[in-house]
Amino acid sequence: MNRNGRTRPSVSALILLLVLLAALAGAMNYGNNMAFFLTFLLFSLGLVDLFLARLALTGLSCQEIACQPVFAPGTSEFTLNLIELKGRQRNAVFLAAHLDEPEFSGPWTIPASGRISLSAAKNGLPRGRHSLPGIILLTFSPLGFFTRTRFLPMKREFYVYPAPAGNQPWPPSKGGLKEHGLERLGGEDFTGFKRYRPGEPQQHIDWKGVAKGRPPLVKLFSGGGDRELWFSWQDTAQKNPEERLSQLSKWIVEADRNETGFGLELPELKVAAAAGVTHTHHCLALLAAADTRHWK
Amino acid sequence: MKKTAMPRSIITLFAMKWLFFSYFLALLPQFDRLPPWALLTALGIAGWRLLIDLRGLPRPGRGIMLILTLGISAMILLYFHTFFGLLPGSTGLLLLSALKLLELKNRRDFSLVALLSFFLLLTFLLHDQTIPALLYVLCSCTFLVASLLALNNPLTTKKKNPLRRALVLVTTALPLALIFFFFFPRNRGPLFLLPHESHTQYSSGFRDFLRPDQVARLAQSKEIAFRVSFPAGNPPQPEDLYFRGAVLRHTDGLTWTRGAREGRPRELLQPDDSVSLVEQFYSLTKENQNYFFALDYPVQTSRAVRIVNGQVLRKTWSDFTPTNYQVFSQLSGEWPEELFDSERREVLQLPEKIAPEVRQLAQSWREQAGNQSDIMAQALNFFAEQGFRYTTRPGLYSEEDFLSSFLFRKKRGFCEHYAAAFTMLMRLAGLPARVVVGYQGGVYNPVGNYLAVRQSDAHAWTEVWQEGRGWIRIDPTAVVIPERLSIGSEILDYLKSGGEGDFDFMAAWQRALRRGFLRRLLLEINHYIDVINNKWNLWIISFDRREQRRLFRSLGISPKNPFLMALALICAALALIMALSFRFRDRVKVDQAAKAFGVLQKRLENSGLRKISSEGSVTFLEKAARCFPHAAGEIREIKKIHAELRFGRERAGRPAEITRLLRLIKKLQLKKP
Repeated sequence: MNRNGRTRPSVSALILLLVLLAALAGAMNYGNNMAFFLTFLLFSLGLVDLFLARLALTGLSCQEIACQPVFAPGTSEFTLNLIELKGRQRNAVFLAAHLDEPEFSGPWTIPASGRISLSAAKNGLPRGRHSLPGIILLTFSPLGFFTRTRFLPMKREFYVYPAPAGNQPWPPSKGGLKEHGLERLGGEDFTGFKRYRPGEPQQHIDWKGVAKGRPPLVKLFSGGGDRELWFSWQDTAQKNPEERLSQLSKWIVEADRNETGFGLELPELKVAAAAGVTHTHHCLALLAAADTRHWK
Repeated sequence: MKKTAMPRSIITLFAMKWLFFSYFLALLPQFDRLPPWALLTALGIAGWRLLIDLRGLPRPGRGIMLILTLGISAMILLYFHTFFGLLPGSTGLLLLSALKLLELKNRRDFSLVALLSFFLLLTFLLHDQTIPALLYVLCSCTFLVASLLALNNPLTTKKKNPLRRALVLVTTALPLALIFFFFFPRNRGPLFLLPHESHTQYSSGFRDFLRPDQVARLAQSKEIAFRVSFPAGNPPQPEDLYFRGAVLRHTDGLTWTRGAREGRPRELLQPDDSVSLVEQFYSLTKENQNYFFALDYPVQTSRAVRIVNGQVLRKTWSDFTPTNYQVFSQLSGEWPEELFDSERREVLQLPEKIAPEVRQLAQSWREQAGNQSDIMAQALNFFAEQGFRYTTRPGLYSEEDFLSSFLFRKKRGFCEHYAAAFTMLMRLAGLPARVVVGYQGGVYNPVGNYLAVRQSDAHAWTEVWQEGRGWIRIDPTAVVIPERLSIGSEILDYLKSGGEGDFDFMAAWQRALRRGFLRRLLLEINHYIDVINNKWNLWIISFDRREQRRLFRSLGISPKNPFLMALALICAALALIMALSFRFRDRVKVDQAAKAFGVLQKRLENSGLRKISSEGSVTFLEKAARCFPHAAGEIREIKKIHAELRFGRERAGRPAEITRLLRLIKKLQLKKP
């Protein structure tokens, strides 16, 4: 598809053509000037429609697309802004993400020199690193004799993480390096309080104490002590590589939920133990993009 | 890229309502043409669909649709006995589009119904080419376009009426359509054989046969049959305004028809060089009318028509029916000495059954009179003295004894009765005679300087062959009602005085004031309207291949191949659309607020205040407010509105604010009062 779009005649255009031929034949046969005139008027309306179809999607630009990663059978949603630049209101614009089989949402009206926020969704994508080359805009010409489609390029990548699945317990923690500065909050044994600093997870705040009027304090637990948690490809018991990835994904999700730091070990790479949202997403993205064909 | 899946089609109720209305508009003008049952059926089916949409009635199943389709086809076949031809075709189209409307499911069906409605309008134009008809069709076209707009923009609501946009689209398409109208190569004659259209459907006006016993009441249509002007400025006397259309030779005692000798170009009047010819230019109003008229007797014509036996005009073969033509007539002329035997037999032909009293009457004239002229004089005397009366409501005559009943008992009738009876009496008295049908008289239009002849001017008269003199026109009706001839005399005064368009409007106005203001005013207005209609007929309706060639020649084009020309025209239009769309693609619609600012900036610069390019509009206007302290308030107000309009939240300007901005800028006084 070329950059500025493509105009295709619709079925109505075929009907228009047949009606025009019949009308022309009638006008010629009866030598009737008013019939000639009406035929030509209809033809000109078709031409004007073609002209408007060709202008229907120019001067639109796409901005600021956001796509949250999802777990495998989930729905990927893209949010984007369509901006009108030419001072013409655009009517009945349909939109689809440029994927295998575009599903159009709409119709939308884009105000002159205005913008609209739209979201497109795609569900049932397999685990992996996907790329969204752009979005497709589609609109009917004002009289419906033509459809105009236009592709807005984007080159945006998004991830579909492996579905968290599997029922293996966490692998045992390995003796590790405390000097990594890893803040350990996990464990079972209550050891005491420390003062809450803004930015710390609020999970362990002693809310009962706060209710009694004391300053917010964080309960400290110990257990596992100075040992590190490593999730390794080798530790997963499943045969199927996808199932193994799912098991890893599940462990990571659980660790993230418990705010436990962890490291990831895959056949070709190793991610040092850490905690936090960025780390979790980094690890999940690695799983999503993993090429397991040569892994054992 | 894979095939793009189409979004699900939505047809809103709003769009459906527009379609219903425009379908109704397309159907409405067909009322006097298509059979009423078809129109009622179409309305019923459309109404059914409307109820389905409004009240949620169940849609008809396939079985019902099949039954309806078969039923409608059967009705058309029963009524017309064929599917082909203009009327059966239009009726079929009407009912087909109604059925499609009933089962309308998707966008394609919607477009189909709209386009079929276009076609329905086209069949209406085939029938009526007048200005009001065209305006009506343009209007309902706009509604059809609006319904398509409503379909393709499903978010259109009552607030955003598609009619305005439709009007813009139609107006944009009009110039292109006009270019095609004038430059698309026209064909010489019909593409395929036209189904025979009956010409006898007009209840009044010209007919190429006489049936005096059948017409109880003559309809008086004021519709114009043709307009005739006399370019040479020598209009005939009112008593010579006989426009012959057809010669009827054959009779069965009641009906007069053209007979078998029609069309053979023999026994024509020889043009006489010593007599000056009267040039006439005719413009016909009805299409598909196969009769052409000329003053007695035409001797020369333009190429579109030719003179045939009986000195009447017919169209030249294979061309479209011409709508205007030129004729030269010789008001008196020399005929060949002898009447051909075959012709003589025909113009003396008598029906088998004739009432004895009629035969006796003719016989008595023959015995008393010395020569042919005496017989004619006696016959005319008979009509003048025996208490005959002219009436347009003669009542019905019985088929058996029309002649005797008319001549001896009822004695009332109109021109057809008199012409038929007189001709028959002449033949009984042994004189070759024939009936001529055409028009007589007309109303002079001083604005357009022509004579308008109406359907109500249709007339019939007699021609008698007199040895040595040839065919002589005798109008027995004129004996009964001499006023009929003088109708045109008043209006012809002007024509006779030269008639070169120097009509004195002021004099006419003063006359109008003297003689009943309103009546004259209406008459004047009617004259003007008629002139416009005439121009329309001459310039637009009769634009044909010949006129087009003239246009091409005047532009220096000489297209060799009409197909190539048509193809080139279509390609040029497509290329134009492509080029224009490329040109317009990058054009940004200039903000009205920005435009207004430009105007203000120019005014300020003329007063000596330059805008530095690094300055924004706000800074510049603030500077201006300081430079022109007496107008500082207004300038700051302008600054505020302008900034709000251009950079505010709702950038698509509100019309009221823009109007206010423009008004402020217009009223702004930069110089101290």
